[in-house]
Amino acid sequence: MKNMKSKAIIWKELLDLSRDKRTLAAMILIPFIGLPAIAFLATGLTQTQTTTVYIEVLDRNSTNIAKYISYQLIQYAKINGLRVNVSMSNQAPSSVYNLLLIIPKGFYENISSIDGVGTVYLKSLVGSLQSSEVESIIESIIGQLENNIVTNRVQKLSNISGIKINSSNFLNPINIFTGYYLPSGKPASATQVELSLSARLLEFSLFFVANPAIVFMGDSILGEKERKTLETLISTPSSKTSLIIGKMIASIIIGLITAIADSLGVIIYLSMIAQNGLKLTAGLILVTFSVSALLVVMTAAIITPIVLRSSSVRSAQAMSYLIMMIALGIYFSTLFVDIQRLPYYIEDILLVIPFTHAALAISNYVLGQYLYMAVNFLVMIGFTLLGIYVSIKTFDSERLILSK
Amino acid sequence: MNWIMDKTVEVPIDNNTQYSIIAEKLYKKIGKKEVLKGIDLKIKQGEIHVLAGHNGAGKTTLFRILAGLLKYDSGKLLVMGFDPSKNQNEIRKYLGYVPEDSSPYERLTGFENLKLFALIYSNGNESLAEKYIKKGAEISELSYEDLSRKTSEYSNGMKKRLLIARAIMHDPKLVLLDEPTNGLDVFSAYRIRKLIKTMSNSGTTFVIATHNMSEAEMLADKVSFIAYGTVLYSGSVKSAIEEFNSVNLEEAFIKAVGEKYEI
Repeated sequence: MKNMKSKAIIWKELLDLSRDKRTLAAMILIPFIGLPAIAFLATGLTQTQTTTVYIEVLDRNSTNIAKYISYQLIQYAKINGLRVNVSMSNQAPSSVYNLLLIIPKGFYENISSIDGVGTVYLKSLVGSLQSSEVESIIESIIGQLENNIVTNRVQKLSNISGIKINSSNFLNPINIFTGYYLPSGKPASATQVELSLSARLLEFSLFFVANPAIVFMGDSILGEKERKTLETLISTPSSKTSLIIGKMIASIIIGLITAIADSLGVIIYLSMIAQNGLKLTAGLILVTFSVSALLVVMTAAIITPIVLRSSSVRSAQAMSYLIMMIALGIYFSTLFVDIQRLPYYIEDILLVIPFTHAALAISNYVLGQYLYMAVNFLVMIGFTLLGIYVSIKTFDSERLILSK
Repeated sequence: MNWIMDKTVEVPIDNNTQYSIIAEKLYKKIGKKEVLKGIDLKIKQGEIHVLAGHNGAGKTTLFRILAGLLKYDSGKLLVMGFDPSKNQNEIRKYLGYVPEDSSPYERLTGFENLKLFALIYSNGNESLAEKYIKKGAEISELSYEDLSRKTSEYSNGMKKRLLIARAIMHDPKLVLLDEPTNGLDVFSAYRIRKLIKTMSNSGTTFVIATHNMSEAEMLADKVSFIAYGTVLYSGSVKSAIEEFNSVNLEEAFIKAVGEKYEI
C-alpha cells in the first residue's frame, strides 16, 4: 500500500506546482520562446543587415584587371546577400572606404610574363564584420585570377616546348576522394554522416534536459522545510520510501514537461543556427526522447541523496550547481570531442560519470552500435536504481530537520 | 534542592497499555548541547498532559523524539507501547502531531490540505479519506467557503485550526501539540482549547507543550514542569500549586524553576 501514499504525495506536489504559475512559466515558456529568439538574433538579424560595404579598386595602370575584379566582386556579393558599392579609380580615394584594393603600376606586366610575380595590396577598415566577408571574397577572386594566369603560362610553355600539356592536370596532380565509414568498418551513408552531426547538437541539448529535475527535486524536499510543512509530513505514516518515491516521481513528471519544452526550444535554436538545418529521423527523435526521459529520471535519483544532505534550498542549489557543471562540461565537450576516441584513462573517468552515457547512447545509435547503446541505457538505469537505494537507505529525518 | 528531583517517579519500562508514554532517563544531545538530560515522564491514556517550560527547555526536542523524528541517545522510551526509534511507522499510524513552527500548504485550499493527509492516513482508501475530510472540516470549524480558499489567504488562527484538524481527523490515540495557541488572538485560542477538551473526552491523549501557564492551568489534567532538559515536577495542577505553596500554576512554575536553578 506504499504506492497509495506515494500517489497522494505526487498528487499534492503536482497540484502545488501547478498553482505556482510564475515558476512554471519561467521553466517552460522562457526556454521555449527565449532560445529561438536568441537564434533569431544570432542569425536572422545578421541576414537582415543592410550595411553597404564601400570598396575602392585603385588601379594605377587603369587595366581591365580592375574591371574583372569589380565585376566578379559584385556577382559574389549578390550571391552571399551582401550589399557592396564598388568604385574604380586610378587615384587615392578621398572618402572613407571599408576596403581598398590597390593594383600597383607594373602589375599587369609582371603577371603577363612567364615567371613574374604581381603584387596587390588589400587594406580593410578595422572592426567591420561584413568587410571581413568581402575580404574573403576578394581573396577568392584573386585565387581564380591566379589559376587563370598559371593556366596561360602552362599553355605558353607547352607551345614553346611542343609538349602537349593538360593544364588542369598540371595544376591538380592529385585527386582526393573523401568518404566516411562506421566503427564497424562498413561505409557510412550520407544520412548517417548528417545524423552524426545532428547527434552532436542533440547531445549538447541534453544539458537543458537534466537541469529542471535538479531544480525541482531540491525544492520538493528542502522547499517544504523552508515553507514549514516538512516536519508534519514526515511525522505521518507515509514511509520514507513513499515520501522519496512520491517526490521523485512528481519531480520527474514536471522535469519531463519542462525538459520537452527546453529540448524543443534548443532544437529550434540549433536548427536556426546550424548552416544546413538539423537532420532528424524518426529513429533519432525516438532515441533522443528515450535518452532524455531516462536522463530526467536518473538526474532526479542522483540528486536526491545530495538534497537530503543539504540544509537549505540554497545549499542544495550550490551542490546542484556542481553537478550541473559536470553535466554541462560533458555535453558541451560532445560538440568538439569524440568521447570514444579519447585516451582510455580519460574515457574511463568519463564513463564513471552517469551523464556521459546519455550522450554516448545517442552517438552509438547514429553510428549503428546498438549493443553499446543498450549498455548505455542499462548503465543509466543502474545509476537511477543506485540513487534511489542510497536515498532511501540514508534518509535521516533528524539531519533533515536539524540541519541549518 | 534535591527534593524537587525526588518528585520524579522512577518509571519501570513495560508495555502497560494504561500509559500512552513512558520515558525513563531520556538523554539527547544536539551538536555540543545537551538538550534533554534524563527526562522521566509517564502520561496516561486519555489525559491532557501539559509540558510547561521556558523557551529552550527541551519541549520541542522531546516532541520530535516522541514522534520518531529524532533519535534519543540513551534512556528508555515507549510511545503507545512502541519504541519510536525503532517503530516510527507503527506509532505514526496512531499519532497526530502539530509542530510549533508549522504551516499548511499555502498554495492548496483547506480541503486539499485535509485531503492530502486523509489519503495518507487512509492508505489511499477514498471512502475512508472522505470520512476523515468531513471530520477534519467539522473539527476546524472553518466554513465551506473558507475551506475552498487557498490557505495563504487564512489568518494565523484559521491556519492553526486547520493544522490541528488535519492532525486529529483520523482519530489518533495520541496528539502532540507544540505551542498550539502561540500568537493567536483570544477567540482563536479559546476555540482551540475547546476543541482539545472535546477530543480528550473521547479518549484521545493530548500532550501539549506551552510556556503559557494560564493555558496550562485551563487545560491540563496533569502538568510537567520542564526546565533545562529535565522534568522538575510531574503531577496534577492542583497538587503543583499546593506543592510549591503558590496561588497559581505560573507562580508554582517560577518557584520550581527558580529554586532549582536559582534564577
